[in-house]
Amino acid sequence: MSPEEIIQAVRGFAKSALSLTDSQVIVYQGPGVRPASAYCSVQFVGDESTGIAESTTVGTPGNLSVRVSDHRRCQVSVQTYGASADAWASSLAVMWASRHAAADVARTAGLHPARATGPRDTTVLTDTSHEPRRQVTLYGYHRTTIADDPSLGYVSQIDVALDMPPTTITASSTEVP
Amino acid sequence: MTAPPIGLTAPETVTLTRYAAQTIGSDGRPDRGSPTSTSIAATVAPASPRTLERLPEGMRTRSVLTVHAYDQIRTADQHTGTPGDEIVRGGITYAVEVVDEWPALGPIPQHWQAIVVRLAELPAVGGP
Repeated sequence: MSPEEIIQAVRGFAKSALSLTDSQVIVYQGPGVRPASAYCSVQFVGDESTGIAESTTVGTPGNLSVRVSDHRRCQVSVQTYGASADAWASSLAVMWASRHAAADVARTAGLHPARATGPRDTTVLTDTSHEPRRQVTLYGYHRTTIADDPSLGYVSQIDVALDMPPTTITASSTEVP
Repeated sequence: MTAPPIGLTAPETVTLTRYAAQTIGSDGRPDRGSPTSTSIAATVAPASPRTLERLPEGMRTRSVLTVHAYDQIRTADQHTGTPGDEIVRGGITYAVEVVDEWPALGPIPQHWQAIVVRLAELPAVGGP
C-alpha cells in the first residue's frame, strides 16, 4: 500500500468508528484553513519492512518481470483537536487494538490493525492550552509490491529478424586424409 | 460641526483577492473556494519591529508589510472555513495574517489595519 492508501484506510476506520464526517477527519498538514473544532488529523508516520522481501517471476514467456513483495509495518498518528474530541483518541486506540468491527474498513483496504499506543496528551507539548489535544499512534501490517521490474527478468525466447542484401555464399571443403 | 473624514495617507491601488469558504473533499483535503479580486485604495508601509513580533517566528524573515484601508480586510476564519484575503502589490502576492478592525472615531472613518506576509506557499492545516 502507498502512504496515501494507508492514510485513507485509517481515515475510513476513524470515520466509521466515531461516526465522523470527511471534514472532521482531515489529512495532517494539508493546505487551507483548519476546520472548526472538534476534529482530528491523520498523519502518515512511517512504513518499514518486517522481514526479507520475496521475489517471484510473473508474466508470460517473452514478457517476464520480477516482482518483489514485502510484508511491511506502518505507523499512522491520529491527533485530536478540541475538548469535545478528548475521548476520540482513546476510542480509536481501543477499537484498533481489539480488532473492533469498525477496523474492518481498514482491513478491507488491505491494512491489518496490529496495536495502538495509549492516547498521549500533547496539549502542553504543543503549547495550546486553549485547545486540548490528544494523540494516538496506530500500527498496522500490509503487503506492498515494491517492484515489478522487467529489467530483472530472464529471456526465454529471442526473435531475430535479419534484413540483408542478396549475398552469394560459396562454400568449399577440403577433406583431410 | 462635523469634521470631514480624514483620507488615507499616500494611498495606492492594490488588488484584494477574497476566497469563498473551502470545502473538505472525500480525501480529507480542502478544496479552496473560488477567488474574487477587487481593487482597493490602501496605505502600505513597512512593518515595524514591534509589528513583526505579532507574527510567528517562521514568518518574521519574509517580506512583511502593514496595510491600512477603508475597505474590509479579512484574515482566515476557521468557523466558516474562509481563507484569509490576499493582497497583490507590485506583482507580489501577500497573505493577510493579522487584522485589526478600528471603529469610526470622529473624523476617522472605520478602517482596517492588516499585517500581510509575502506568500511563500499555502498555509498548512492540522499542524501541531
